[in-house]
Amino acid sequence: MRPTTVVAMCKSGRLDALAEALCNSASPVDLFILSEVSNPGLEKKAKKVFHPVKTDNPQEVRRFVREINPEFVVIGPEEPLAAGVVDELRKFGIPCVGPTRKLAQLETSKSFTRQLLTKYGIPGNPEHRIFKKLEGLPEYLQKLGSFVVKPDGLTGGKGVKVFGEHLRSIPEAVEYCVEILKSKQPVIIEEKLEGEEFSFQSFFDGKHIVHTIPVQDHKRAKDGDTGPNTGGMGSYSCADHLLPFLSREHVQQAGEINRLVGEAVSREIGEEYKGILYGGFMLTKDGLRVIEYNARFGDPEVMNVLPLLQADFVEVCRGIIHGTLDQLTIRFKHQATVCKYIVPNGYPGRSIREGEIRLDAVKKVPGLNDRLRIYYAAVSEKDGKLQLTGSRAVAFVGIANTLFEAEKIAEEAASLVEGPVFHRRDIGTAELIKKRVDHMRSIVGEPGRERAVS
Amino acid sequence: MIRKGDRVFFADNSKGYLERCKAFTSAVRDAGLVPLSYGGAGTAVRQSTLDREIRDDFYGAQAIVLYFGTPENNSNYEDHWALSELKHRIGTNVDFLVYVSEDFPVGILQQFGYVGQHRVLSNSDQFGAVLRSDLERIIEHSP
Repeated sequence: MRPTTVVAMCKSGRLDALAEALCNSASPVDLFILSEVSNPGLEKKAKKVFHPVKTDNPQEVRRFVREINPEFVVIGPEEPLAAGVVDELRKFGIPCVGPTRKLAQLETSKSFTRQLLTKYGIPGNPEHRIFKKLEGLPEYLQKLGSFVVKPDGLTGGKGVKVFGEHLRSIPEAVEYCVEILKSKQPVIIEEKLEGEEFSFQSFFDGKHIVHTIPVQDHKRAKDGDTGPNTGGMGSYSCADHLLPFLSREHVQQAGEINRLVGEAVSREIGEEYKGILYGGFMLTKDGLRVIEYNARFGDPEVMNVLPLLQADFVEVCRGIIHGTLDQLTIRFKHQATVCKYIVPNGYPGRSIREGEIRLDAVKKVPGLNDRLRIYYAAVSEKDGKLQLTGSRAVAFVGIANTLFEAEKIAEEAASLVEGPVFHRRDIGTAELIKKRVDHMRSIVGEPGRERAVS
Repeated sequence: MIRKGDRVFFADNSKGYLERCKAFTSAVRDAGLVPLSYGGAGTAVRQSTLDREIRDDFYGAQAIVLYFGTPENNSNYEDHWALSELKHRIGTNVDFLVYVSEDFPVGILQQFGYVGQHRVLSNSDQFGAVLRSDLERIIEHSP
């Protein structure tokens, strides 16, 4: 059988997970990678890794892709989408899993997405308004409850005020707004949402949608949700395809919002959206709110999802491209996953950019392939030694029947890495899950779902 | 030491924070620095949509000014967004200016890993003037 030629482009652990899913196809695949960097995971899976390639340069990408002449291209990160790589390849008849530049505004322009949700009456849009005069402002604040007030376009600084639901809030906030308006600046009023965030990713072919499973990412660098923001230190998903604080109804709502957004953006731009719809949601006391949309898989969330896929990912990609997702049976294994990234000391602000790490002990963990996946990201291999290159280095994904078993597998592997790195020990642990459930319970006053993860 | 044009972070969640935010902005601007001020930033903000923004500003600033004082009626002394983050910024070459009210139990700062100095203000109205003089002390003046 003649192999299917596929190009994938990205630069992180997400690419290694995509490469694995493509190579696991029932039919042979010749995988070519375009990336700014390479790593041992990609070198092992791909027929050839072209690097460094500026994947956000449409002309440079097109030169490589035309030479390879693949059946299709899978685009991992947002930069090539924003730069119009899909548009450029389409001119030459090369189909992509990923939207065109205009459609990718869903990710690149927050205001575009907010307006889209409003225009098409899609639920979950957080309240947000800009006032140039006081008229209607006190009434709007009254409607919100908790809110944030800040000047719009304040040059040389920022003055954010958070107002809660105590009685003094409204008069104090109005006083602050008057002060801002007096200085001839518009006032931004944002609803302050409190709750638990989660991601819900779907495959969309322009007409049909297939949902994956909800995942919770951990953006902060250190245990206990402290430390600076990062690209994501790890994530988890549950065997029942819910999350400990999330009901089936919430997941259905998130899926419905993804579908409405996919249809709305296609209608608004006049082109079919073909790719991944990543909805970033927050469960609040008033239900689901949309925090952001991404036009690609999340990193690390893709590593929770693709290892559980019970379908041929090459066929899924074809379904997205040809608008035939409805003809496929796409399911996910009922297992839990916990992903933990190891990152260089100092990450993210002052990452060390060199240093050797050793995974020898990890590779001796029994049942490596079934229970643990290793995805390489910002590491290079020199003379058989793994070198850090300054960002998230290697992701370990534990897969098991329960969340806590999956956590133990990922934690054991991450702890066995030798070198100047650290990771979050608390992701997927009973303690942190309880904190999430208690937090949600304190907001909505409903019992949590510990049963799902025990 | 900080230089003119550097960003200075401020968070306050105690009674009377609106006035201190105003005093902070004015003192920092007059010193040629960029104010990033968050009033009313309690621990609830940590699980809110504002957290990403405040966190980026806290970890991106060249100096950090914090005020810990008498809590609002429905709050407590530990209800301050920055407390849990202090341990991660200590020893990272950032200048800290920490002010507390006389009633504030300073043991809380140590409990959260803050080992630097703090200044007790007998009256919150002193905040602006004391801040101005402290900023003057930590700004690097070109010869």
